[in-house]
Amino acid sequence: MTIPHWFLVAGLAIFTILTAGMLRKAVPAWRSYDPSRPKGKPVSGAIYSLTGAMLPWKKESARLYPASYIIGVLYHTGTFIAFAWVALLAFNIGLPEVLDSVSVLFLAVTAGCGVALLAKRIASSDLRYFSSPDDYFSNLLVTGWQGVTLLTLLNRDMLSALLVCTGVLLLYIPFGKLRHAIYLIPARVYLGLFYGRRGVWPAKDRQSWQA
Amino acid sequence: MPKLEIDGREFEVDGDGFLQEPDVWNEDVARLFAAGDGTGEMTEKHWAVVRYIREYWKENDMAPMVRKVCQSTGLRLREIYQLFPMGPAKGACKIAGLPKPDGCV
Amino acid sequence: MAGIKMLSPDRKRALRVLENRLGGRLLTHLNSCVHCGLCGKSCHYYLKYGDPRFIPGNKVDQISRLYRRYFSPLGRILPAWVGARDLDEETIEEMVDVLFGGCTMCGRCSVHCSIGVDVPFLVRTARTMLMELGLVPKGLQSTIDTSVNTGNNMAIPQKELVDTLEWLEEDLRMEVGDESAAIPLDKAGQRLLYTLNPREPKFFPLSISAVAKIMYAAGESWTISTHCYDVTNYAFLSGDDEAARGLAGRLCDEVMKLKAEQLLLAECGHGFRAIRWEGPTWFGKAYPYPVLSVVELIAEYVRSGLIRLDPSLNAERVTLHDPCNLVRAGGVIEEQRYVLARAASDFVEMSPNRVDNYCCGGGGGQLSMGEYRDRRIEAGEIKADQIRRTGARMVATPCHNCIDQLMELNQVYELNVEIKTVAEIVADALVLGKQEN
Repeated sequence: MTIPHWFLVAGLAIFTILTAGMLRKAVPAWRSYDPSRPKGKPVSGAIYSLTGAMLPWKKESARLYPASYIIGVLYHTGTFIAFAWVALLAFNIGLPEVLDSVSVLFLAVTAGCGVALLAKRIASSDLRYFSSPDDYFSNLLVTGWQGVTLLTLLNRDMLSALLVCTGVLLLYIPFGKLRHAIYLIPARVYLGLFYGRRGVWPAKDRQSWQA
Repeated sequence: MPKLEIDGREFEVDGDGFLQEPDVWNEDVARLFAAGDGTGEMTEKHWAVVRYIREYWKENDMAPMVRKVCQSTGLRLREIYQLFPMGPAKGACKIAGLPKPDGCV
Repeated sequence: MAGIKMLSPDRKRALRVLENRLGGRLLTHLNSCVHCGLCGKSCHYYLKYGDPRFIPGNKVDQISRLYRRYFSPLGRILPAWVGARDLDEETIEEMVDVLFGGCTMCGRCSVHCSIGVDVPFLVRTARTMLMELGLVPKGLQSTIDTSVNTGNNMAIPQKELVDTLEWLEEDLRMEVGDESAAIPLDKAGQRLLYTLNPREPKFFPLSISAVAKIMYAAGESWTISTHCYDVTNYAFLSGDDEAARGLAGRLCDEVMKLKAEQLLLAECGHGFRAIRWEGPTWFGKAYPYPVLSVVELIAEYVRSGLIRLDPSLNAERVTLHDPCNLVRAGGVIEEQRYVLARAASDFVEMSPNRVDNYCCGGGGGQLSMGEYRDRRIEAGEIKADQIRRTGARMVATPCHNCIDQLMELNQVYELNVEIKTVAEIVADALVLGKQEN
């Protein structure tokens, strides 16, 4: 284990401890927060919230902005791919070379998506109005890290840099807006429980009340 | 304080257009308000409603129930809504120079 | 570094509201928004004005930036870095303008949020903080005070209410030609305790007559309490939980006192939501009896054949406006359209509808906050256009607050429609007399 390896391990450990602490405060309340008599099934609402409600044609935020939606999905997929590669590379596990090339191309696209989202934030006066340095930095951090992953795939000498970058990213996630990675699923579950209990979600496409 | 200008005259009104100082009210003000909110020309029936509301308010410091308006003017309920398209509160009470009532109006 | 300790007592109290509620649900929603801004076009204020202040993400930020400033590590050390803000004059001023004056807590943005942030929940929590600062707009606060002090939000004396209800009872007897038809007052042991929006007895009693006629046709066992009947709960809208609990509690006590089996709520969006759904949270337990909207009851009457309707009696085209608090946040979604499709011969939906419907513009207490009247009417243009596109001559909506806003939109945008409660349209279509089988 090199020093960058140790740095990554330390980063991961701190990230895990902080995340566990945050989730412990956020999650257990789901059982108790609403004592009203349900009209629908809270759990079905929560499941729908994580599945059907996320479909692009159900969500106006996706339907009205197809480009942003696709760019956003690609960008986040890039993050997952990059994390997978960090894990493989850290343990020096090789994959067929063709996957290297495919990943390089894919990460080039997803990092490009990151740049596009950053450019959009800079260009839009609406977004600038309620953006903070954290919003720009978080994008730069993730986009840059995807880029370093890409470079490492091209040249394994970059591995140390990638491990350090990943450590920095993991250390930053619990503090800035990247926290949404930790809170996204609880937020969707809470919203789903709310609408589920009230019989609003899962949304029915046609009249079902008469049955 | 917002001001409402009708035909060159200025009145202090609240955000919903209700008169701020009910004492400056007179029949000209009523006509101006009615012309401005879709009620249109003030007929005898309009005046009967407005005068009753005004008198009641001076005595009781609140708008009368619409039942009382009907019973004292002899108008039917549905007629009141026809006379004042904005309803008894935002229509008739406003024209009568009352302050805005609380609640869903 | 100015911490909480340096703040004035009322600002400390406001932050304590936030601190005391930092449990799972609030904590989660405060930390989830990514400022993507894709929620803008789901909000009728932003659609109308294109002003970034009205983007729901910015409304979320009004409270989350205070959370970050006082309760998150990075926000405490480097507030500017994460857009955290001190609870100062300027911050508070924007909160009042955006959260009271630029949001109806309709929740349309939450349904469409890419993350799933419960925006109205955060806005209401922020309103509670503003309430601690004494900054609830005057008209909204005085409506609450009137309810708390006089028992109803229009300060109607009990005798006036009784006189009006008796007057309506006379009318009902004439209309149905039956001397035994009744509006039972303060009668114990009935199946249903019905509530009213004080606006009905005071200014718009036709909706009471309509419900009474439907009850008569169904042979229902019901009563109205003349001591405690107000279905509204403006304290829910101002974020004042203590007052809200008090107002809801009075109705609950009345149900027990009159030994009714169920509490039946008038066509009032926020009242339904506050009592049916939020009350149990304020009391910390479920009600021992069912609470339902009169719309649900009417739908049940129609479905079970207890009342009979002739849609040809409502021949004009009718459309339906979905009140946010009854539909999106209340779960009463299909009942009103099921009823209207059988009570009117030409019922058409407006688009979008149901959970996707736009707010009328008068929700969240807007109707009582005169200072934002112009914004309320301008943002209501979206609703006016929706109505116009249906070509309907009549708009039904099961919410008195929506009705008043729609009446104003009707005049300002020259829609030339009539606005009615669902019960009024049903009452007009009622076929009285013996059922033929």
